[in-house]
Amino acid sequence: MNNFLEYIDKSFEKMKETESLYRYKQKLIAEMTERANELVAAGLKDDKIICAIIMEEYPDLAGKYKSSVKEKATMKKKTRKGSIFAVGTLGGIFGAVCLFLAVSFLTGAWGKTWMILLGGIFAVLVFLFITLSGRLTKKSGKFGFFSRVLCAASVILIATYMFLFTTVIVPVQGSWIIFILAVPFAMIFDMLLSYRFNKKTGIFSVLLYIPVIFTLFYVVLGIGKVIPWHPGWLLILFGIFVDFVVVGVRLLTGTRTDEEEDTWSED
Amino acid sequence: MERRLNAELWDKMHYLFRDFNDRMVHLELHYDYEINFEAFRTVLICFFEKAPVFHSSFVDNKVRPYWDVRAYDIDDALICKHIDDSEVSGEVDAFLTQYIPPESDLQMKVALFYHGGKTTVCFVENHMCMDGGDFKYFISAFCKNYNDYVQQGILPLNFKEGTRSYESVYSDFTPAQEKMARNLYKNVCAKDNHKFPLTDDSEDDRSFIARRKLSEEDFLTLKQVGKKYGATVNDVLVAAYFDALYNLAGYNPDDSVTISCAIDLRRHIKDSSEQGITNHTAFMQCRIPRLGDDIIETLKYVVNSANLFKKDKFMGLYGLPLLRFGYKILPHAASEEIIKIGYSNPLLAMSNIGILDHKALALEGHEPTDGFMTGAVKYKPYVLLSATSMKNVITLSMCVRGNDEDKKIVERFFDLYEESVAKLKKS
Repeated sequence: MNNFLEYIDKSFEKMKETESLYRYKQKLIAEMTERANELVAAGLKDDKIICAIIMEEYPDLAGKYKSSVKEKATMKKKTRKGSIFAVGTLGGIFGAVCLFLAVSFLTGAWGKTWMILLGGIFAVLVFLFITLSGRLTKKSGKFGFFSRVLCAASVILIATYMFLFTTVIVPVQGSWIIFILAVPFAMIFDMLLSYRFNKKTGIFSVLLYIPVIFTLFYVVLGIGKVIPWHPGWLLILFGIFVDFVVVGVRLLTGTRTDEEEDTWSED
Repeated sequence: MERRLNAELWDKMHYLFRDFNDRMVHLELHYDYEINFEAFRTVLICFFEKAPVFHSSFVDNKVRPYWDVRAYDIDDALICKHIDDSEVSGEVDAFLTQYIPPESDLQMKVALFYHGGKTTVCFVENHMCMDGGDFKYFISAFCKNYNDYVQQGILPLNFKEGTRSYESVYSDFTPAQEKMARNLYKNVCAKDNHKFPLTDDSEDDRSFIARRKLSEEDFLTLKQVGKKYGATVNDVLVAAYFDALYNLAGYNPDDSVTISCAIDLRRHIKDSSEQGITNHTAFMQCRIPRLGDDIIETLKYVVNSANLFKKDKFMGLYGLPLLRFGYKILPHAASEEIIKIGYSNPLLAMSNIGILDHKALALEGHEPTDGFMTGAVKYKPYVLLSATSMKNVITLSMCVRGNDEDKKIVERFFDLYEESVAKLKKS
């Protein structure tokens, strides 16, 4: 037992004694004592060997302590960030509730003021979805399936609120068209983000989405009588043409990169 | 403190082999003095602590198996008995043929039999922990540590620790070679139905170890024969195996027969000091097109077959990526069933474990007077002929789970083997 204490004291002799260090040393003593008891129970009688085995299993105590302190600090930071996040989210919802009640009591327009509450909840949800999507993307390095679903859900929530706003607060005829518009916008975000993070596979999203986006824009513009149905359908063909342009640009940039690499390796 | 160890690829493969053998590796050494029991015991505990797999229980989790490191009492692993000289053979056989279940807390059992001022040391260990190659390292390191501890008071903690992963075989390849080796998905199992002529399974079957020695004179002659015909000692031993087997089993001399020969994959690892004790053994298929008109022609067929393998830089590495893939993609229970479909356990096998260095195995200046190491007890119809040598005396052994009739058959095989050796000596 004395040997452990000496070993521990010697390992930390150059470090300032703090409460955290004291607790760490106590934990080490407990672990080493338990380990020594295991070795004795196994049948080892030679104290020197017991000590040597344990000291081999606990090398560089000072280094391990410093790593554990760093780890604790990182965990503390993460916990603090998480707490701020949680408080902010709940605070946002509570704020929306207070604002809703205040405006409702002052104006008596309960039939419309619930949109404040809904807006607050939707804003918090969109913020959560976008943050979670970003964290998942950062963790995996790819704009994966769940990240994409969360982004699309955010766009749908925004579109839903805009539709309700243009129905309940400021009635606009034909506001249902917002839902059709939401789809190409969701596709645009998805396309840009997936190409940004997954260049090799993201190009397929780009090629698939562009004609669909142009088709939906054609439908919206046709319904809105901005362009005639005929020859407005040419917009769809234009979308396909854009695909060819994208492929061409990609091939050209790919060839130029190969040539640059070849030149470098010759040098 | 709860601790777990990874179940490595070869651990799982040897566990899978429970249908074919009892997974025990055996070692017997004879010394002409009484070993210091307390010192021996102390060194054994230290080695158990250095390689905790020896005191771990294999947990056959259906998704992902692992080793659960357990608390133990060394007196459950090490026994000491004072017996008469006449009892040595019986006691040794009884000890060596024991079976250690994989879920046991201890994977190695050791016995010291003191008799007439001498000591017989017996080790039995689970093949899932280590193969013959690392067992030879184990016992050499054990003897060195014992001597240092007893004679100089140096603490017996000099034992290699490191990874037990099969991937160590790739560690000394260049990136290009490693990439090629990791793509060797070919299944190279033996597909030969020729078998050793043992009886069918019966209730009377018990594990037994049959052994036969080839004298120093025979060994040196075999070496000379090998040199004359460009063959290694292993090639000569395999040729004698074929010759004896064709005679014993009555194969058609024009039949092509394959014997799977164990090879140590550590040949691919330049520096194994960073490795932990583990398994790195695969099989090489030694196939002869027919029995030679004389034993020399048989020897030439063996040499041709062996040389084909030796030319391959990736000898023994085929199939490892396939096994890894099989274990990776499915839960363990499902992987085992799939691998069993594709894996064909060789009916005829040989393991030349090699030299037991009597100098390295000396204890307090006393070299062992005799000793041998042998592989697992095979369940019929599988057989494995093991060979070790000490002081130029070869001990051939065959461990079988069989009855008295099977014992006679194995003894007859050894008789024919000696005749084959005699033919080689005359050539």
